[in-house]
Amino acid sequence: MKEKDFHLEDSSNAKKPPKRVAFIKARTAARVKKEDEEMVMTVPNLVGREVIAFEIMVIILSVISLFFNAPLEWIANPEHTPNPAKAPWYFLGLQELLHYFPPIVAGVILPTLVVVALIVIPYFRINQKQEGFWKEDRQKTLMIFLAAVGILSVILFLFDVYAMLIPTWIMTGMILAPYFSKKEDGIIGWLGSRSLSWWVMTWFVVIVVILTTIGILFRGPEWSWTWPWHEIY
Amino acid sequence: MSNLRKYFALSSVIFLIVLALAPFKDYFQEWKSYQNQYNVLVNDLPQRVTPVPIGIKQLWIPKFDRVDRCVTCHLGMKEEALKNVRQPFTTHPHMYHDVEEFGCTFCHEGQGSATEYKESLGKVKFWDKPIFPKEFMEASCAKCHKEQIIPQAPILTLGRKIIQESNCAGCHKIEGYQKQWVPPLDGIGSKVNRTWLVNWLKNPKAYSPKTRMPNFLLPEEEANILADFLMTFKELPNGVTLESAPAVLTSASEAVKAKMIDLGSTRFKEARCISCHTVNGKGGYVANELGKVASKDNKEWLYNYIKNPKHISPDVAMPRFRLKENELTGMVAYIESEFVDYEMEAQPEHTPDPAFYEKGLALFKKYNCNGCHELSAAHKSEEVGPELSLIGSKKIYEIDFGKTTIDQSLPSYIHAKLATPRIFSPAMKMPNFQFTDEEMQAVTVALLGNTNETIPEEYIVHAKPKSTFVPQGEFGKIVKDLACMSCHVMNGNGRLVATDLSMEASQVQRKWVEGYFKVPYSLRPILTERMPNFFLPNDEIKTIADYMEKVFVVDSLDHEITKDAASVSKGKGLYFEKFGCQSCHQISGKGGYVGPPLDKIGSRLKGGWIYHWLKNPQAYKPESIEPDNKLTDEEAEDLAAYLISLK
Amino acid sequence: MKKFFEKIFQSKVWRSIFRHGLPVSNRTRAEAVFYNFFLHVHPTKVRKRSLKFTYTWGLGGLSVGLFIVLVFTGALLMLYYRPSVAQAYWDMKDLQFVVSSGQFLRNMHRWAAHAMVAIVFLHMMRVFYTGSYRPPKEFNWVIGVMLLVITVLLSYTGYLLPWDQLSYWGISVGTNMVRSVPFGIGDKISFLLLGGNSVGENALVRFYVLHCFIIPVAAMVLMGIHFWRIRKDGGV
Repeated sequence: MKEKDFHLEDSSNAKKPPKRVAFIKARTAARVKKEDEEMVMTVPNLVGREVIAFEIMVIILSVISLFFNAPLEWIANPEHTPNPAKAPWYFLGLQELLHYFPPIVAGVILPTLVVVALIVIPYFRINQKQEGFWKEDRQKTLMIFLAAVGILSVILFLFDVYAMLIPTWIMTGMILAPYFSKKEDGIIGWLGSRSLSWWVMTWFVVIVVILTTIGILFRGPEWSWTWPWHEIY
Repeated sequence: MSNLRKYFALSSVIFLIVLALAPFKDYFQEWKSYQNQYNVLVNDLPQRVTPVPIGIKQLWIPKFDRVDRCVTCHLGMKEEALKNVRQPFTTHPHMYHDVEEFGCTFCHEGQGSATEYKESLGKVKFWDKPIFPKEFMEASCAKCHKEQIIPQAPILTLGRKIIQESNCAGCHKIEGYQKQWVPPLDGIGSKVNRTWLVNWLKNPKAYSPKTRMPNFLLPEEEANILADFLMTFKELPNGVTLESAPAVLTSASEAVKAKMIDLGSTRFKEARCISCHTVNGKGGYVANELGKVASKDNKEWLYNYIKNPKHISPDVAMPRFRLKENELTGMVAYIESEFVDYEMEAQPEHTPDPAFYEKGLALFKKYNCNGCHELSAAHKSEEVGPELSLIGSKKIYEIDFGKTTIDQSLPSYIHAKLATPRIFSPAMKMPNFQFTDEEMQAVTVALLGNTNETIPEEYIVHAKPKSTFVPQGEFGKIVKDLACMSCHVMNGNGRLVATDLSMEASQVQRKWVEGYFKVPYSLRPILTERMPNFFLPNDEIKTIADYMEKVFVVDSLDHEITKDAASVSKGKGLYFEKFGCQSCHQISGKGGYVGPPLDKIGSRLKGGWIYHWLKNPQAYKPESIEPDNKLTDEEAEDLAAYLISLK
Repeated sequence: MKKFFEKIFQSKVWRSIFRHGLPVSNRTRAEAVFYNFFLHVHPTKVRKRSLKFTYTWGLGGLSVGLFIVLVFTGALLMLYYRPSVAQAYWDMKDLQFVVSSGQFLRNMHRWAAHAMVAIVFLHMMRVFYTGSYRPPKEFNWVIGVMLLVITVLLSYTGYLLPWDQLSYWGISVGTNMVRSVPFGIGDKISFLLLGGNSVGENALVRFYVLHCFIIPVAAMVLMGIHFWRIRKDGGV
């Protein structure tokens, strides 16, 4: 080692991180960072940005609050159920599911599955390689994938959940596109580089958004399909 | 880094400005401007009116659970000087209740907690009691006032009367109203003819404009089926059979017939049938129209009914006139000749539907005819309409306005429903009562008053408990037979069309009573309802007079009046000079028409009664307009002495 | 002017409050973070890469910001609100009509709450798509999921408090969903939540306590851990 590698940090130049000696223990693979990351002082760089972001947020909130009043309907009346009785918007996706599936499935099993799935994500090395969907063993992947989509489609079809079926098929098409086309760049290339977990998560988000939107805007009396411009009351 | 600073500065400034906007917006509130306007206004007035300190004002009425901030802007409510200034500062018109005790919204409704004009009217989304339009205001009186007659709330009083008389309780459960008696339909086939019945079912008011029977808007086919169905009920209830009408009615020669009709006509007038019945719309309101009755009822039924009404319908209010056989026959002949509907729409030739009975019964039940009419084939029904006991508390969101475009409020809903009962859905079955605008308003008011609001017991004015007094014995039989209590009140029971008889024997002389039954003249010629002549035999008159002297007496009304000439002349002076009684009463054809004439009053009234009456008329008849002249004992005695000298 | 401020900044009192000087040199800038209770959650220096807005979209920070707004407006609203069936709705009306800026406070609270649910969800998506849950941050992801659930619960418990038709039936629909949990467990949970078999006075009090105390405290603890772990794992 060269002598100058050992000199101690003596400058207050924040842009240059101090160099340190690393003790490398046995049986641990040494990994050398390609380059040291550029560092900046927290004050004012980070704190300043945080404060600005906070202020902008409060400004937006205040302006909204000045012009749009929080809803307050009739006083609660246990004897009169509004039609439809809607939960808060973030549960309308669930309520929409309840319209299709038996309560035990929509109200208990699916939400529990979702939360459990979210929790286990980091423990199953999901998405850690972030390899494209078709990277390995294309035939086997295709078989499994089509089987999974098929089963899902049958279930959705049996319960008339076209709101989920159609986006599922669209996404299936998007997944299959890179299988048939060998293009490595452009949209298809980008789709091809998406991993399985990316697709699952995206599918989940799309379904959540679609179901919630339907629940908020398109559901009227008896949970029937109603256009948003039709007044409910 | 200086960029960051710039953004920081910019965002911080906007941040502070925006945060300041909220209290700024708060500062410029509507009510503040009104209070400032008020203070400017009162400063310019010639009278002294104290300006108000700026701030929200409210009336807190814990016992009604209300907070009313109307007074924040309605600042001049109690200032007489502000009678002619603009709203919201005008003086409140006469108030029956103290605003400090009752608040504003208790009567007016609207959103009391609001401090903005639009919100306070309550004509906003999510507020279900918007301010009452003026014409429905009296509905609020009904929350506490449960009594029959509320002089200060004539519309409400009328509405309740109409609800009672229209028999709304037949189909709707509605607290405080009882079902009225209506003729049972068993035996209708022996009474009316089918042509009449079809026409009647299609439009009852065409036959009798005053009938309480509503129009069920029946299609031609349903009216025919229902008529066929009803005509099958020929047997009267309780196994009563009809005597056949005297053969003379058909067999007599024209000359004899003319004589019969002549006698019938005389008796018809003497009996004063039109005191209770109308003939072509003229006459009393107590009983039904007779103008076309001969085209409705057959003579057999007419004969039997006039002979003994109670025999056919035990509950009917028709008296049994003491007519002789030939008089009865004459009466029927007269009715048959006179009261014919020459315009009655003839019904086309008609073959009954083979299943008319089942279909008719179904229709009878569908329209809940048995809500009002009894019929052996259909058991007494439960109410089929919605309960109306709490309709005043119905929320907007509980009302189905259908496809109508009427104002979305409870008063207009009820009003529209009364005007066009099936407006909200053709499947509705409510009939059309063909109310006038005034009646509709009154009924709406009375219904709006049926709320679920809990009012502290001490505020509720209850209806007087109904007296169940029914005279017994021989007198009782006569009273029932003559249906006296359909017009007279006795000890609190009965219908007050004519006089209250509870003190009769203390008021009038026996001799007069006996004479009156012979020739019942009207004490007040302007009234339509006159005492009929029942043609009573002497022994019955004696029974009546005896009973009255025993029962309808109030001892405290006794007062000896000395009839010496001095007090009579003093009384005459009081009558003509001091109190000017002649401005309302007539003696020998001179005087006003407001009160009854006083000729021969000395042969009618008892001195003691005159004495007590003069001293405090309202004590005996609260609604009397006879002025209370605060007579001294001596003045009252003298005046009474003068009056009983008028024999 | 400048001298006057300098005098103040160097006064004994000022220095007793802020031990560091103005952040003019890197040393004092570091001290400003180091000695400040609120800022010490941050390292004194951060990677320039993590400041890049389009990487994080500031979603985590915005969630905290919304939480602060909610705590602040919520505390003020608590002054005017009584969790009882007879009064809750009328307190809303009073907020609207007589409390100075009361409606504004309520609007802020309501919209911020809705925004927070959305932003926390977006934050989770961002973390997934950037793969920021990889070791050693697995557990922090789990805490994040818990925080998402807690955010939804916070919003949901607050939904009942105005006691209008919207809240009453929103909560009824939700608790009916809970009832479908089998083996009678759903009924038990629902009973526990509502303090009875239907939404009423007890439910209102429970939701109030959950909304104003239990869940916020849980959220704050979890947030503390969440941030601390971010810091320990080399984040901001």
